[in-house]
Amino acid sequence: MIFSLAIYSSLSAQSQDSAYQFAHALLSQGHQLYRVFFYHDGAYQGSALPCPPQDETDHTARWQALAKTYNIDLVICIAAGLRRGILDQREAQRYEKAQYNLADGFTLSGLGQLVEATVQSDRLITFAR
Amino acid sequence: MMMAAEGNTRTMNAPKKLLFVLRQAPYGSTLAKDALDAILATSAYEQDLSIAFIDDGVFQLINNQQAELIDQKNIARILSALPLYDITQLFVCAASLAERGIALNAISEDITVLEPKALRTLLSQQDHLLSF
Repeated sequence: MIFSLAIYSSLSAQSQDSAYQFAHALLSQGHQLYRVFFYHDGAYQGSALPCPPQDETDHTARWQALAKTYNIDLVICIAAGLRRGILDQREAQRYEKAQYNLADGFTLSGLGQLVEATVQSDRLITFAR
Repeated sequence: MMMAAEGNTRTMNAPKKLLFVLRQAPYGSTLAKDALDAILATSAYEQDLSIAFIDDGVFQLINNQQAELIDQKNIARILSALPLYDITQLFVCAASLAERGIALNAISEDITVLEPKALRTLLSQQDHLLSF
């Protein structure tokens, strides 16, 4: 079965952890994960800068590792990212910001990517709060 | 709207039945507004799109919202513009309205009120639910 995930929650929410666990479970059972779309506060998960203590989960690294193993599309909503200061090099130049911080393995794109993922998938699972 | 940057395909296979389920009060978080952004973006993709207001989402429908007083965009005004995007299938949960003491004359007229049983049927008819 083809799944996509929509994640709206930030790093502090249990639901973003559940999203990862769900992604891991479905992939390890042989299902496909078409795309993970980070929207609203979910956009914070695209920052390369969080530095959690060593005995806590590095959420960004975890998604990156999963994406690398299974070749998953990790998309941050560009409007949600811009509002929250999650920029790639191109957007940093466009908005004349001195820095950019989008983590490797993530891309910034539009809401059309959520629509397309929904239409192309058998199931869209939302992790909201 | 943020569609301008993506000139990719607007039609993908046969239209699917997509129901946006809105459970958020209009101004406690930007999620209600973000949901409407997602709906407007989806309207460009020629899907069979409808919206259901459930739980605290029914507060979005109340007339005479004065969002300007708290420097917010008026959600009700955005909702009233949905027909311009060919979005006309709007439903509200009767039980959610009743639980919150919201009378039918306090909300927009262009919306179909559904009892829980009919709402369940609507939900079960969809290809996908997009929950906010």
